[in-house]
Amino acid sequence: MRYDIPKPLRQVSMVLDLNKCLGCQTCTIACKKLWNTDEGTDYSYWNSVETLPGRGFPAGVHDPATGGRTVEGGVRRGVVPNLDTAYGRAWTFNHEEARASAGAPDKIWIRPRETVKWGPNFDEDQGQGDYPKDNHYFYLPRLCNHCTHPACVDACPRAAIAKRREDGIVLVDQDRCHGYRFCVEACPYKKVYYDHVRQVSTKCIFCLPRIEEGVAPACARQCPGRLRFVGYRDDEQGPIWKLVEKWKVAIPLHPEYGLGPNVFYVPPMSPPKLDAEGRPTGEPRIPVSYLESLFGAAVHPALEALLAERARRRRGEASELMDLLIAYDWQQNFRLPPRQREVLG
Amino acid sequence: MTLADGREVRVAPVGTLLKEHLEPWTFEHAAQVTGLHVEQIRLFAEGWAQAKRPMVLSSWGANRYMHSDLMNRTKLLCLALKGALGRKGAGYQSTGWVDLDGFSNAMRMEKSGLRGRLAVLFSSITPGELFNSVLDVVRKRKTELEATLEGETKYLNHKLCTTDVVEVNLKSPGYRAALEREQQGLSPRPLGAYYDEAHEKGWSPGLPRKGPPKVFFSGGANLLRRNNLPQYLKAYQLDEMELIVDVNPKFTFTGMHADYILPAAGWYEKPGIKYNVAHVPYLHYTDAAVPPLAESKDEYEIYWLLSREIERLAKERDLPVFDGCGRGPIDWKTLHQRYSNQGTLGQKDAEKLTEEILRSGATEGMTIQGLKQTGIARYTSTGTDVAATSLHNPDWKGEGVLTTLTRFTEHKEPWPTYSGRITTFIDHPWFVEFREQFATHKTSPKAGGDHPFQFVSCHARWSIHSTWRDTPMMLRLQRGEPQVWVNPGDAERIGLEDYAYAEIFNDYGSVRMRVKLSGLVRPGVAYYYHAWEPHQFPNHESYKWLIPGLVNPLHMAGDYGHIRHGMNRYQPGSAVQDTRIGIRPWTGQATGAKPVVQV
Repeated sequence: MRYDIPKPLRQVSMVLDLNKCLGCQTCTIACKKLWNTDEGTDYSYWNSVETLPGRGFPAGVHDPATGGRTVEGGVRRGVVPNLDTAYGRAWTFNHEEARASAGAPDKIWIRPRETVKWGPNFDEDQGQGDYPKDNHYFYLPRLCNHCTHPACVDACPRAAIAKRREDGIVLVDQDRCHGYRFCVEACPYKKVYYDHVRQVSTKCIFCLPRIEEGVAPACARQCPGRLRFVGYRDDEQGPIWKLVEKWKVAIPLHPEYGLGPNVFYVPPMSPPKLDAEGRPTGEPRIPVSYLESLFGAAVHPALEALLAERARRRRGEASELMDLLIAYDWQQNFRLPPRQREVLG
Repeated sequence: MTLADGREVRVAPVGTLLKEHLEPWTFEHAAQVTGLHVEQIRLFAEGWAQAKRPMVLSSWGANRYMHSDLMNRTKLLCLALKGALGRKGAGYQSTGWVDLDGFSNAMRMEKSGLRGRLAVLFSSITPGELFNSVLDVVRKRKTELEATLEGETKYLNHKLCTTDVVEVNLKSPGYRAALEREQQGLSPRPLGAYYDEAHEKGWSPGLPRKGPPKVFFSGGANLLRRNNLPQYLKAYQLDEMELIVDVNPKFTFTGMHADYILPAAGWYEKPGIKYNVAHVPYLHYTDAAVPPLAESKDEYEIYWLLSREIERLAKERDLPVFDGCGRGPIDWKTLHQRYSNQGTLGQKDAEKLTEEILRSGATEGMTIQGLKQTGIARYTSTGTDVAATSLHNPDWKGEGVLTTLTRFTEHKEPWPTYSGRITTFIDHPWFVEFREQFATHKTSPKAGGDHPFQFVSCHARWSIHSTWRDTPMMLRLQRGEPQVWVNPGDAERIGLEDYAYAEIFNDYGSVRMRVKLSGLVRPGVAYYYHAWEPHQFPNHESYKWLIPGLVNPLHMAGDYGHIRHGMNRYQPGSAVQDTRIGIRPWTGQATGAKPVVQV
């Protein structure tokens, strides 16, 4: 199916500075508590935080694309991740039995009732390399990219997915959706989830009711690391334009998928590797080739710009980029004028 | 030189002694001890030497080793050599910047209003003492801050019915024997000898209670989870109680062993303020978004009802006035009258109490109504509370950088040392006995036996401190069960597979945890992120069953300049990071803590 995806009037967007993410998962919980506590979405995380290098969430998401677009621009069918081995089932627990056994000789301890195979944060902090020479990892928070050319839209035979004219947010019409899961297959970022109770697909709505009020999404507002920036891509006074267009330090994840993501990342700098004697070398711990496999060739100039501006700031010179990334004034991270709220029928 | 009594002594300036003391500590020697490369140490040293405003943030975590004091003294030495202490944007940041004097007032008031506040003042200081104190200040024998600090120390050490975990543990002969056995050879004399001397000389106030306690009443805590060697605490303290009560929003392990649980309302089910210990200069307010679940109640209300009932029973039985903790009489027949400020605070008046707390130096202009609107409000000063004012920054007014210890630099008050200056030298007899006159390196003692892994406690993740530690949503963000973090190379060597159960063992027995591989962990070290409930482990025995919690006797020293007991300032702690363990695969063998050694 090929739909004529209209260009939205404006595109709302997010930049995440990976140098500041501490993997606390506050964003994950902020999102989950707000939108995803239903039984049918218990396993799903519109916002997740992965440790990379690692298997990601769902497991295997960074392997060569499972979905996306063909060279001709059509939809490439991918896979629906396995509930146990890729997403990880939402385990249930035995608190009552554990408490009841307090005075009994055989104690029952709190543990998952189901067999544990994988979960949304299963390989947390594992990373790669040898301590202390080159051990490394970083966190990658992920949400729907609200792509400019979303594969999920084209994959749907019901025309149930649309990109909003006002702000470019990609939404699944919960009434039109029949739960075929073609969108789940097609999204190479695996950010459309199937609600197995309501039998429809669901995904990140960029906290649309908040955006309409001029309030940033919950994942961004609650981030203790202040690493998220939210605004419109065409706002030259806003942080998105400055980081993406002006300084070119914020780049999309997996640009090779060709979907035009509207979520951007400031790639992580890393401390130097140590040589065999334990002396610091000039080489970063996170191999740039690995970052290139995630962010494409644009990671090179982005890292160079970051290092140059950081060096400038260290010399005591002014740097608009560093001041922006440090987020001295957190309110400046978000530039979202409130809009007329859309009345849904 | 010759002393007045004719003795000949050699005199050397402390600076010369310090130089001599530091002489052997070349980069090469430091590299040998630390395992770091000389180049890394040189880089750090050069960075330090060039830094314009070096600052050390030394928080709670920096105090969890037996020799944490030596580490901290070393940091202070490095800062002092840079002249960084008490300088803007530099210096030493430890715990606690802002404190609310209104809080201690509200807790101690037995009448509402000014009369209540004045009574609090006079309950901790007699008019005679107050007069002398004023005289000292007027005659410039003491600074105002010194005088108030003295008054507060007196209140904390001699009036308030409080004590610390180490004191409680060491008071129990069985527990004390266990710790003495553990710490054999770690100090010139046995641990108990220092404890006894500190109490004889009045260096440690102890708790002069008349008899053993009969009721264990737990609120806002989870002692059986948190205490080191809980099996000893249980055998020597809790099992002797006639009654155990737990007031708690959570169903904790302590609650599981209580006779009664009084369910407290959770966050967002009761109004309240959260005031932080450091770094964030804002008061936080949480509103009651939803009513408390089932029978749970705001803690204020629980204690209101409980004190009313105790007072009723006391009157009915005509109970005499008791002196339970040895620091003054407590009249149960007026308990509720005093709790409710002679009836002016009703069952649901927690907010009135909050208003009283907001009458603090640090919260000028703040109101509950205002906080309900904004959620947070910036402090207007570090507060008139003694600790905050005298130790940190008396002139910060809510704007700009908060610098610690300016009282002694910009305000030129003498440092509370013998010399009145910053000193790196302590010749207290115990410090001489331990050869710790200067900060030095001492190897971490092997607590729990000579086993290959150092067992390091990390601050909880996937929870807010210890809250929500066992909620399914948070458990799903890890692996559902407690994990021990090991370096992948170590795991391979031992034959441990990721996520498999491992047996963690030392001289106190063994527990089971899931293996978690992480390149973050240094080989030879095993991490655990604390606050797991014991009933999340097989046998309901957590890693705490293996952690003796070492006590450094020097922290009971006193009567020497700045070395003197003070609650949350200078008191012995229970050091966990020196614990050693072995790890082996679990293949179905029986695990469990060894029985408590009977004295």
